[in-house]
Amino acid sequence: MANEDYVEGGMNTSESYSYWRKVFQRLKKHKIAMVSLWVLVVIILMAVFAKPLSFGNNPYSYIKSVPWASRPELAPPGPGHPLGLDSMGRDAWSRLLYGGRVSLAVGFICSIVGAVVGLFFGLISGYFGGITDMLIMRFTDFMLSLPVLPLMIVLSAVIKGSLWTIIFIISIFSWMGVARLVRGEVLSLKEQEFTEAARAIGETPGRIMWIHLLPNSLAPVIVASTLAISGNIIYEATLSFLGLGIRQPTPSWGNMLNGAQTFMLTAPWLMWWPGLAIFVTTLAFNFLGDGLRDALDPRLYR
Amino acid sequence: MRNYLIRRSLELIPVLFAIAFVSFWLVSKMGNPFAVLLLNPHVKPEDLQRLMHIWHWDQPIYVRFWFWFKDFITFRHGWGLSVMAPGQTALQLIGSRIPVTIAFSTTSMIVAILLSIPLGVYSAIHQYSISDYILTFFAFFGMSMPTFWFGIMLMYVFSVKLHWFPAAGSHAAFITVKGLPVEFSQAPWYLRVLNEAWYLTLPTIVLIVFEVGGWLRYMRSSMLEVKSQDYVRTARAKGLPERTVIYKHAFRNAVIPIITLIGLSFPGIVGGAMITETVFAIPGIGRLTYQAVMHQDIFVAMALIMIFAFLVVIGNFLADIFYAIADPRIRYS
Repeated sequence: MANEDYVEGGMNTSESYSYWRKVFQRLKKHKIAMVSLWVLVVIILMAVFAKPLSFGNNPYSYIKSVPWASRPELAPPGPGHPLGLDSMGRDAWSRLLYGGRVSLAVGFICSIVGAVVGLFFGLISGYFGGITDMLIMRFTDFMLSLPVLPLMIVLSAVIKGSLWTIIFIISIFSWMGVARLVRGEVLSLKEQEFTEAARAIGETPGRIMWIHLLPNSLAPVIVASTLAISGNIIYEATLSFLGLGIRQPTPSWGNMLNGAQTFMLTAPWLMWWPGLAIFVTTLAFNFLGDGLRDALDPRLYR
Repeated sequence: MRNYLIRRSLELIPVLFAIAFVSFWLVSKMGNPFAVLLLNPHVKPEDLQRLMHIWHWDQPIYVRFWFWFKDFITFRHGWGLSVMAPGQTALQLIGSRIPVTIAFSTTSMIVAILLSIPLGVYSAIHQYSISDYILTFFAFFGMSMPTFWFGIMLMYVFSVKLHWFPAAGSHAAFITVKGLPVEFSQAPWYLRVLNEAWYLTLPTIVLIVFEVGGWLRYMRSSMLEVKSQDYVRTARAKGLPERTVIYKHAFRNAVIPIITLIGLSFPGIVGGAMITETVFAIPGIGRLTYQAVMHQDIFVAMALIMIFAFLVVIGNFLADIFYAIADPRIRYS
C-alpha cells in the first residue's frame, strides 16, 4: 500500500505539494479519522449556523409559557423545543448550538495559541542551545510540574471569566508539550545539511528558523495540537461546570451542565445532550489526531 | 547513580519554592482572608487589624510569603487558620480530609495499572483483531470522556435509577449491625471499610476509566514499536518460543516508558480526583480545594496547592529516576 503512495507522489514535481497530498491520501484511508472529520464538520456547521437552526428561539430569552407543561422552567422536550427548557426557562436546543460556538472557539484558539507559543520557544531553544535552551527548558519543566487544575481554578477565581479570560487561562498551560516536541525536532534538523547550507550562504537565524526549521518540524505539532483541542474543550467544560469558566447567561456545554446535577431527578434530559456533545467532539478530535499521526509519520504507517 | 539521585533531589527545592511563590501570589489575589470576619458583629475593625498584624497580612507580599513559607516547611501554626471552618487550622482540616482521597485515588491507580498494562500488551500482540479494536475504542472512550459528565451519568444510572450504589458521600451515617443501626464511628472496622468501599465504588470507576484510557493506548503503541525492533526479530530467529520473545525481550523494554508516563500523569490524576470528589460530594482534599477557592480560604488553598504540587513534582522525579534505573543506556552526567 505504501509503495503505491510513493509512486503516485513521485509523479509530482513539487516536493511539498506531493508531501501534503500523500498525507491527505493516507488520512483518507484511515476510516475512523475520516468519519471523525465528517462528524466534526457537522458539529462546526451546527455551531456556525446556530441561528437558523434554533427554530427562532434565542438562547438568552425566557420562554414565557409552553402548552405542555405548567411552568416553562425545566419543561420537558416538546414541539419547537426539542431538548426542553432549562431551569431559567430558556430553550436548551438553542443553548446547545450557541454553546458549541463557545466550546469550539476555546478548543481551537487555545490550541493555536499553544502551538504558536510552543513553536516559538521550541525553535529558539533548540536552535540557539546553551544558556537560552537551559532557561527555556527549565521554565517548561517548571510549568509541567504545576498542578494544572487547582491553579486554573484559582486563576479563574481571580480573573473572573469572560470567554477571553478562559482562553487566556487555558492557553497558559497548553504550550509546553509543543515546545518540547519542536525543540527535539530542531535539535536533529539543525545538524542536517540543508540547515548548514543555509547558514553557509549567510542566512540570519530568524530566517533559517522561519524558512527551514519551522516547516520541517510542523508535522508533530499538527498532531499534538489536534489532540490538544479535545483536552482544551474538556478543561473549559470542567471549569464552566464548576461555575468558574464561562459565566451565565452565555451558554457553553460546560455551564449547561452546571445546574444539571441539581435537576437530575426532575429534568434528567438536560444533562444528556451537553455532555454527549462534549464527548462526541473530544472523541472525534482524538481519533482525527490519531489518524493524522499515522498519516504524517510514514514509519508508523502499516 | 548516587550523585545523580542527590542532584535530582536538590533540583526539586527551587522548583517547589518557585511554585510556592507563584501560587501564593495568585491565591493572595483572591482577596483578604480575614475580611469575612467583619460579617460577625462582635468583631471590631481593630480586632481585624490586630489579627492581620499577627498573621503579617499588613505587610508586602514577599514578607507575608516568607512568614507563610517558614510556617509551611516547619509545620508550625497549623499552616494558618481556616476561614470556612472557623476554629480549625488548615493542617487539621486537611488531615481529616486526606485519608478518603488517598484511599480511592491509590485504589484506582493500582487497578488502572493492573488493567492497562496487560490489556495494552494483548492489544499490541493481536493488532487489528476484533479485541484490539474493542480495546482501542475503550481507550479512546476513557481519553475523551469528560470526568464530571461520566460521573454524573454513572450516578444517574447506578444510584438514581438502579439504586445499586449511593449517590454521594464517603460513608453512611449509620450502619446496621445485627439488625440495629449503629453510628458509623462506632461500627466494627470491617463493616466501616465495606461501607466506604461501597460508597467509593462509582468515583473509583470514574478515575479508573479516565486513567486506563491513556495508559492502555500508550502501552499498545510502545509494545508495537518494540515488537518491530531488530533484537526481537533476532530473538525469534534464534528459535526462542514466542512466549519468551514477547515477555522476556519485548515486554520488558516496552514497559519502561509506561512507568514514566504514569509518573508524569500525576497532574491529570490530581485534577481527575478533584472533579470526581466534587461530583460525588466526597469529603476529600480535592473537593476541599474547590471549596477553599470558592470561600477565599487562602491558607487552606495554599496548603492544598502545595500538597498537589509536591505530588506532581515527586511523580516527575520518580519517573526520571525509574527511567535511569531501568534503562542502562541513560547516563547520569
